[in-house]
Amino acid sequence: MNKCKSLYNKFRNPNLQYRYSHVFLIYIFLFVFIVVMSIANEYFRDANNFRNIMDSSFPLMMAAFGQMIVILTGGIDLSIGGMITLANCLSVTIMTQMEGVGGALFAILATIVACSLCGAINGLFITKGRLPAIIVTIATEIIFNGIALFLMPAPGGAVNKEFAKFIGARYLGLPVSFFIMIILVILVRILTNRMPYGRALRAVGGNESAAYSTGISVWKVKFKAYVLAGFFCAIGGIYLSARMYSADPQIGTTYSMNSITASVVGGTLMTGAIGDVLGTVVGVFIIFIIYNVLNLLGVSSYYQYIAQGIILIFALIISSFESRHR
Amino acid sequence: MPECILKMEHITKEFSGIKALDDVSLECEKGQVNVLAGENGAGKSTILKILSGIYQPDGGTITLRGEKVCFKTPLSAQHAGIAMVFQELTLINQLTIAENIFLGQEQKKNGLIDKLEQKQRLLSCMDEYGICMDPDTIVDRLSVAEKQLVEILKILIRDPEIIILDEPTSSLAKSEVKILFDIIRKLKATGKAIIFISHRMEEMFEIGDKFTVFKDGRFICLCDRSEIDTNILISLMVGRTLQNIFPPRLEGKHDVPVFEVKGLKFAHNGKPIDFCIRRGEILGIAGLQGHGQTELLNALSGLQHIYSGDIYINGKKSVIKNCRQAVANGVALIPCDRKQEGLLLQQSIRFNTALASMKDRKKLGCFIDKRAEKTMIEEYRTKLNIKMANAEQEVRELSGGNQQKVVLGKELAIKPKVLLFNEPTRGIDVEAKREFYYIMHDLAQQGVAIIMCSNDLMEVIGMSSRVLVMYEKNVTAILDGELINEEDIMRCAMGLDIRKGRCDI
Repeated sequence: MNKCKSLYNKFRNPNLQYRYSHVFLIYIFLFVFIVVMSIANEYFRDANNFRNIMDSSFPLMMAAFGQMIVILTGGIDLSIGGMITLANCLSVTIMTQMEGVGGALFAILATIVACSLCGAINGLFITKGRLPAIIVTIATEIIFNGIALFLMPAPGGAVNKEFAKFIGARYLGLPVSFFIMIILVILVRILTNRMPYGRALRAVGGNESAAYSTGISVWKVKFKAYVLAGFFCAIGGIYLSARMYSADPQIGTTYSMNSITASVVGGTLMTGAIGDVLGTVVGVFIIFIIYNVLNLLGVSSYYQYIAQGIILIFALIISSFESRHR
Repeated sequence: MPECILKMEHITKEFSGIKALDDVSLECEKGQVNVLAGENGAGKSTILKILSGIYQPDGGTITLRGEKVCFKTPLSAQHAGIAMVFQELTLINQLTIAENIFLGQEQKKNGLIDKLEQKQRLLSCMDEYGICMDPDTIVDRLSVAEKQLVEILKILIRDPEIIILDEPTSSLAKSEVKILFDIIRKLKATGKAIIFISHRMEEMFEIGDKFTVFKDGRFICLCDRSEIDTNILISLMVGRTLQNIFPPRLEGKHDVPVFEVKGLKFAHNGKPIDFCIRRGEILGIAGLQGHGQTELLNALSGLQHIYSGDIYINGKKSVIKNCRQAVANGVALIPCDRKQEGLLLQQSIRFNTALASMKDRKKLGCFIDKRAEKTMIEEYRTKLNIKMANAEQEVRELSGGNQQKVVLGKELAIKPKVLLFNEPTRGIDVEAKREFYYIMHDLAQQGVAIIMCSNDLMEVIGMSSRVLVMYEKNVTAILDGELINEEDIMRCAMGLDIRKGRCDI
């Protein structure tokens, strides 16, 4: 009884509401949505369908983590799609050239290094070059896509069997991607909410000059955020390689925009400083469940784009409504 | 003899050719409060920003504990034991009190932030200094005074040796000032060196042990508490001679007021303000920075909400709720920051000058009449003596003085009855200033009501027929005639002696 009361009091706390009201809302929305759809549609409530959603949402989950970290600093990364494509094509190219488990491991490592470098390039232009993030990342997106096309002009290639099998396997009835996701969510949550770096991230996004005069190295914080975005894109791209057994130089086109949508739906403010990875996770799921439902209902893919736009506008309306009432 | 811990000598600093600091010195001793005094723009904030590593000096040396040092970043100054409470708050609104206070130096356990430990340390620190706040409150929800206390806690937890307080009391009420002064006395007792800036005389003398006086970026003197009193300090802070760049002073001759304000309330808790401008008069507004001058002008020009009060222009009651209505009633504002609020820098002179009065020159009812714009610009070019290549030149290529003339031209084009100047001559050279003063003089003679707000006291004294002095968002006095001098204005601006002018308000 006492515990209930303390929990209730905790929820009533305006400071917690300030930070988590959106995340809380979004969880309720997801829950209600799943329940309603499960009752309405028998294909939807099938366990395989949920595994399918889990599987297909993993790459976007990674992209959204990276995007959220960048948005927390008050920036934006539109080269996420390019980096995912590059990760996909690069890892498959290496695995096609070098066979065996060793080759696969090398491919993973090389891809992670390459994408982190791509992020570092973004970060350097934005921090040391003092260029606007939106322009820099639009430009590098084109470059990364170009490199990917150079590596792999048409879809194809081969992927190490053992590696693909490991990623595609299930434990306790759950796909491996689920476990990787859980681990990464915990790590990102610790990074952004429990470590000094996360504080610095929000400080820079909240008030850059204040962060500077407090003694925070603003450029390093931003630079690391873009490198992290590159790192998460590498994970997403490698995962795509394993699930498709091949590479596709067009694969990443939708990821930049979708990762922004997912972050915003999940409660990240585009102005920076506020956002939680627990919200972003749900943001990604909401996008994919809506796609999934539209697919199950046999709605044409054109409408899916329209739906995506409407979701984004809706999420923005909610967040502006909230900030007005603070 | 207290131990001298810090010495700054022969410091110079230039901002785009203008000397903000010219060979100044500052020192502080353990267990002493050094009060840094000077008018607005004397260079107090600049030297403190150099000390805390935000600006780099162009010349001079900083000696800390006998060693020569140089602070490249705020971080290196912090490591050296120097902490500053800034005039403009530097808190991150989205974070909690505890998160802000420990920002950049979190208590760590296994690489993670130890929230519990932080909270306990903070609570014990607050206990020690008698402050009561919930560490988990989001800073956004705090009042300005509470934020100021958080700012001070932020440096207390860092336990620095030298503490700089740049106008910490400007937003505090009496009771909160008392808490702050108790904190300062405790810090003094533990041997910290403190540099304190305030614009309130009684506070300076309550807490200060030593006084360093700056004026116009130059060092005037360093003296002991015992050698100085309010009058000496004021005369040290002012005491310049009038330069001969001002036109003869205008006296309002007619009894008919052109502009009248009755019972105006622009701040939530401010007192109602009454004043009037007679024909051919320039009303100066003086006061220390942030005492409501800009808000008053913004309220009159529709930029800021008016709580109550009436405005009469040429005897006619006028409603000004937004800028549109202000323009319609003939009220024009020359804003204090022309680059931010006054001009579109990348656009041409023609574009900028024509902007406010576009609707008066339509061709065929809806098109922009380029030719009419050109003739208009030629008119203002000769009238205001704007030095430009041609009307299509980009405004950002012009000098500060000519930019300001373009702003004035833009506002004159709406044929204003009332012109509000906020810092009309900030960042422009002396010759342009002189021209500007004569333009204002002529406009006033033509019957335009002119209000001029400036932080430059000389300008206010040189230009105004009467001077309205503000202190803490209220009008303390309207001075005229003999009373328009530096000492009397400073006195009123510091809330010391409220004496009403001889004229009817």
